[in-house]
Amino acid sequence: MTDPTGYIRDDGRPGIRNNLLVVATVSCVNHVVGQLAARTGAIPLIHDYGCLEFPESLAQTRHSLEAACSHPNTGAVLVVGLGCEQLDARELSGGVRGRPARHLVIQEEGGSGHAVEKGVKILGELQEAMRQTPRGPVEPRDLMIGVVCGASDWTTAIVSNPVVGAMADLHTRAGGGIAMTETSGIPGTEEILARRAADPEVARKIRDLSLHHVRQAAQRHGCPIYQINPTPGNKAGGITTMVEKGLGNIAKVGEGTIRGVVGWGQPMEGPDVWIMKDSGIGPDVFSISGLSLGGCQLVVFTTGSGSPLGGALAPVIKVTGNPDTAQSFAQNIDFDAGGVVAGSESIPAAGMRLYEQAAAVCRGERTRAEQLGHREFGIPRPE
Amino acid sequence: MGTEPGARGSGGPARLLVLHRQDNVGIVTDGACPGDWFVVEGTVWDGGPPVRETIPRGHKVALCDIPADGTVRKHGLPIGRASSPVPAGSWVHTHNVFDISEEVVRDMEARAAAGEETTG
Repeated sequence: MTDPTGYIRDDGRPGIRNNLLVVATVSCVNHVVGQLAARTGAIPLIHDYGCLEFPESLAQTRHSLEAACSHPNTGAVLVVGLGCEQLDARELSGGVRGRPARHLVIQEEGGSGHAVEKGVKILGELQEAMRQTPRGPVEPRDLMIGVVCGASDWTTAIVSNPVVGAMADLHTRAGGGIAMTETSGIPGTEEILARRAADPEVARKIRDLSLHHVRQAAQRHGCPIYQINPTPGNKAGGITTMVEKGLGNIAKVGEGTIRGVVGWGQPMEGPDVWIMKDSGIGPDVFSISGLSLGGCQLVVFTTGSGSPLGGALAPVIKVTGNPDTAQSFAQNIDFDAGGVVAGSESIPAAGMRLYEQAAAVCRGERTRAEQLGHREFGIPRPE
Repeated sequence: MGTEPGARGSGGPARLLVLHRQDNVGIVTDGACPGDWFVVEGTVWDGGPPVRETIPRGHKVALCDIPADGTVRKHGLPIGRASSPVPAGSWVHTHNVFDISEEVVRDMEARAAAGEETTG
């Protein structure tokens, strides 16, 4: 990863992409943002919030948009506002450091059509300004990789997650960072994770987080967590106990030291393994968005039956351990670990091959999700 | 390849995935039937256990005899305890594994309660 293919940011870690973002402050401007993205190729960041929000919820929206604007992969930003919403476009764009940022307020432009014309012009100027972004190497210590699983099946716990874990071990040994979320799945594994904690405070946070999920499950379902986990589908696939299911979930971070535990979308900085509290029960897009907002420049996503998701802020590498899915869903799969099932490749060998592929994506190779235009983004509501 | 497959019985090769060297269960990635012999990473497992029963795809098989109450290890870590003696080559699932999760959760709650008491 020592080729000068990265994008140097003077406010933090380098990017592996130089994305031009068009950010909506409020859902009222989503159509204009969509038009601007379609006309210019910029990446749209749309969501359903930004107005009529209570303080805690507004803080989550504000933090998410600020973190997106300052993400290592973000090269320049146009913030689009309506003019009367809670989140102020001028303020959001004014707070962006380390890359060019502009704003556009629809009510000041005399309508959405006029705003699109003005926005296209601004985005052209930003594209020009982004050409000046200095280039340099992305070392393993500069790179935080998020790991997620979704649309899981019987191969996830035994093939693709262990393969991703082998990749994670290679990366953390090289000084890099690995981050997981999906913490609703950790109960039963907290002592294993706590033993890997960098210090007693991190161990305490891991145990508290697990207990939080145990109590939340009891509250929501009116029964202990081990009675709903594993699910009948998990059991049919060969998972016998809740602890076994949890081990399959945490296998994707490897066995490295756990450096920190943070809230959803909160910043993670430094080497080793990071755990981000998930947003509760929610779609996979919240996992990808949360890890990206926390600073991951790249996401590796394991899927059993096939998920097409990508991400607005970071490229997503799609891994499957199911040889059938590798064929039937080939359009959306970047990495086929089915050789582990077939006995033709070992887990460490597949992990090494995956790490090489991750390095290629860091050097600019486009993932299937990028090629297909997947730019999913979502902000969950605070619990 | 080691032994002539025919010498092992009337079945066929059954692919076996062992996740960790300390594990006492493996995963039968295509399923297995009595008379099959195990193949690990493309090589016949000489001296491996006989397949005692039909095991569904993706499910676990005992790699050695596991005594009643013995720890079942997968990913190199305990996932449960045998609820009855499990001979090598048997299917390992909810019918012969006691789920330790209830104990784990009870321990967590107890530790948390003790912590809350001491810290007031």
